[in-house]
Amino acid sequence: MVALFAIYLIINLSLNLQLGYAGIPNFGLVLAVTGGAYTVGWLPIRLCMWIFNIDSQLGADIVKNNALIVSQINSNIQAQPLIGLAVFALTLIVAVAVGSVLGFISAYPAIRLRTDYLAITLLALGEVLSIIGQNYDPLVGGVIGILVPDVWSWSGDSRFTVVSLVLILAAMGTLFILELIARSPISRTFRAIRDNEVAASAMGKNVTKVRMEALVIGSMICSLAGALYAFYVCYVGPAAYGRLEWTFLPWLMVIFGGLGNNFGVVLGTFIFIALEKLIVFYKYAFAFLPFDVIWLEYLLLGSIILVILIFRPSGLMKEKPSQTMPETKLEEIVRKSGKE
Amino acid sequence: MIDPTLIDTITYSSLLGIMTFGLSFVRRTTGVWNIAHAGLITIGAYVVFTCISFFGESPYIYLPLAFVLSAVVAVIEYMLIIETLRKRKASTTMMLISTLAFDLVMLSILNIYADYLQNTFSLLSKNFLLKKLDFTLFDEPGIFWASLLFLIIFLAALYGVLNYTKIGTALRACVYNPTLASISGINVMHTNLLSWFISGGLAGVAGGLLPLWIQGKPVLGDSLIAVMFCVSIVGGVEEIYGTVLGGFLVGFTQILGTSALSIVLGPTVIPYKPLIPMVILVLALLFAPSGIAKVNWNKILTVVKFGGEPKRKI
Amino acid sequence: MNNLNSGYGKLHVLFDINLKCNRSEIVSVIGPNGSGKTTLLNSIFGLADIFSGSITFDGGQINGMLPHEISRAGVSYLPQMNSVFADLSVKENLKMAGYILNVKELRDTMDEVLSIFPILEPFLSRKAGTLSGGERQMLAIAMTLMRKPRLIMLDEPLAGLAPVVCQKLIEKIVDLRDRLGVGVILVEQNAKKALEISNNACLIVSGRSIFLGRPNELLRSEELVELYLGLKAERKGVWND
Repeated sequence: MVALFAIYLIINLSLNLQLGYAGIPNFGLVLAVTGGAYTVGWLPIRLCMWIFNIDSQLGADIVKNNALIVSQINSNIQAQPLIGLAVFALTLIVAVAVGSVLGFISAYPAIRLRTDYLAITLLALGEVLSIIGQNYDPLVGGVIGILVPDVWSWSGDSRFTVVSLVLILAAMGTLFILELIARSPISRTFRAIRDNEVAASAMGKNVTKVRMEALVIGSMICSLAGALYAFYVCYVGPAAYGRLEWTFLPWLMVIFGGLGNNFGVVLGTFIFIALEKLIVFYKYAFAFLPFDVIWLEYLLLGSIILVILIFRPSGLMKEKPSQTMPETKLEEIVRKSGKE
Repeated sequence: MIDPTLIDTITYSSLLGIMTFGLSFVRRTTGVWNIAHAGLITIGAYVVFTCISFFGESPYIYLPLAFVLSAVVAVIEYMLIIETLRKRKASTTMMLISTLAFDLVMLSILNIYADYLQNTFSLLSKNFLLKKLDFTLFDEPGIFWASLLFLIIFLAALYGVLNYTKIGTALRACVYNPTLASISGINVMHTNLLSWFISGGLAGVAGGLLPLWIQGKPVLGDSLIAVMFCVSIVGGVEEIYGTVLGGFLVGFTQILGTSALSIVLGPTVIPYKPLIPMVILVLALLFAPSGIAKVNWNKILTVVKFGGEPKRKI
Repeated sequence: MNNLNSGYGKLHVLFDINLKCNRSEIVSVIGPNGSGKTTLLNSIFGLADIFSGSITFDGGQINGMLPHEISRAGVSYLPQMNSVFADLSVKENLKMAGYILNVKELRDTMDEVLSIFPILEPFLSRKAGTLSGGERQMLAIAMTLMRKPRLIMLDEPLAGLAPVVCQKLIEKIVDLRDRLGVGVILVEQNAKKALEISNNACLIVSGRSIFLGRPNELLRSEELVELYLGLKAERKGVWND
């Protein structure tokens, strides 16, 4: 649960940046997340094969032999943890780069569109990578998917703890950075453009450029999350990276927690994940129901959001107004300039 | 014998038109992109499936029922959510999310229903194809005739309603100028309800027809929503017939275009067929942001001759 | 209206406005641009947010009712902009204006209205957007008459029209008051013309009612007239050219 929480937190914070601060409704988050995950599906296995000089015979058809290859790689990593970590770090960097590229090309044709047109265009374009992944086998093994080398295999029994720790650190790091951004002039620019484009551009802000920036940064963060998730579950496949789980649910969580407020997002994410875990945990209590209980959960989530939108659209925690200079300081400045 | 690919193409294009029309229609009349349109389509599919499973006969006779049920759900969605949010002056994004949430609710209910059917009656409700129940006419599958004819008849009927009936003219009036319409005594909410009713009903019919051609499943509508958005934007929402044009453009490019490409580039292109609507979307956004129905073709020729790109904001 | 405070959302536009209009009476609402004249009309019709105060019509309270309900209650409104359905034909425009009438009533009323505005007769099947400014205003006023209202509110009906057309329109408005007995609330930039035909006048500046009373009293007050209306005061002597 901790791991899932951390990963969703990262995505949700990214969405908060794009939507909450910059006012960009990115309904195509899944694209960046998938991008990060696919990077992990493609790169590490090849990288490790090269590092550990794994049988080139197997390497002829990586996809078909991926189970064998991966188990060999894993035993190698068990012995050499540093390499595992290096692969991890390197892949993450590549994943983030991929995310930025994906963000850029999906945003480029759409960025000048009006809000709702932008949203659905990003939604439509978000499907692209999934389609490619399903049909181009060498990428991530087509529909079946592919295994990912376990860069944490050196941790043995305490893998779960180690990975959870890393993920939490990553999430905290993201939160920290984004909070910093939130309190900085950058976020004020974002919000200025969000609230009043005309005024903002009259003040000299290049609206399109700034919006692109927000989207690209957001995509980079989502890619990171996708990559982290792939390293956690050690599996990448188009089926696991769908619009429902990786775009729609984050949206619901962010709206629930409070748009424009990072801590609200933390709260919202936590409650949602906790709820999900609870329902799954007590699945057996629901076993009498003639259907899969996951749908009950989604039904609940959807309904909660509808209720929230009608009665408390700002979410659990409202957006905090910009912290600018305190009044006394402002007065001082005015006084000083008046004297001159 | 007409080329079967052409038959396929026309069928697909007609279905796209029927599916997407409602989406564009409510966008035009009430300003909302209804993501839950996907769910409305799926409802239609399951209405027909349920009736077939318990009562047999041809799927076509249950289409009116599919129309009504989806239309009713659409109206419920409108009343419960859209109107409530409108009164609270919610932003477009919030409206969009509400349709998303409603779609999720519908998807869940449909999955639950499908699970229930499967577990209780051992029906193949999670994945069904009704093609075998289709009839043939002049050697062509019934779905071809049905979708094409329905589209034509519907458009004609809509044209009649919009131009020759009181409520239809009122609907046009409300679209162009809701304030003035209100002032004149027209209850704008009534016309909105009408457009949502029509749109929902249409979705239901589309959902009823689709399983005769592709697999029916709980995510039927959702799997198509991306294409529908492409069609809607490409065709343009301003003109009523824009969506139909968009549907045919996307349909033809997707099927015939892929065939042509595969001759040139080999069969590897075929799996990427689903990407074509997005490609068209991107091209449309770059060159014809208001939709192809509104393209000023003279201007295009001028631009092509002298270079430069018209950048328009929708 | 009594002590009306209204505006849009958080914007408070009108402060404590009182206004009354009787049958067979023309009340002018005049004042500089942006003073809230249109907001006043919008408030009556439920198109602005009312913060406090009340509006009654024929003894019944109408603030809080929806626009189409107010319309059906017997109040007609000619808005400043977009007063006709440009994409609909003239005939369709009239039909829409008479939306609540049944077929027979509609036909009779249309004949009546066309007899008041015979100029529209040849344009019935033309799109309203293709009419000239004056013709469009005629159509707009004709539309307000379709429901046989007891109160008509006109928002700058003379704006942008040639003087000859203005004169015709003014005659028609007076005709409405005298012959049909409707009450008219007239918001006008062209204050002089408006005041000439009014029974009562209300001068609104920055959302507040500065003057409420007879038009000739208003015209005599040089301060109000010069400052706010840009007209020369009726009284001569103090001000030299």
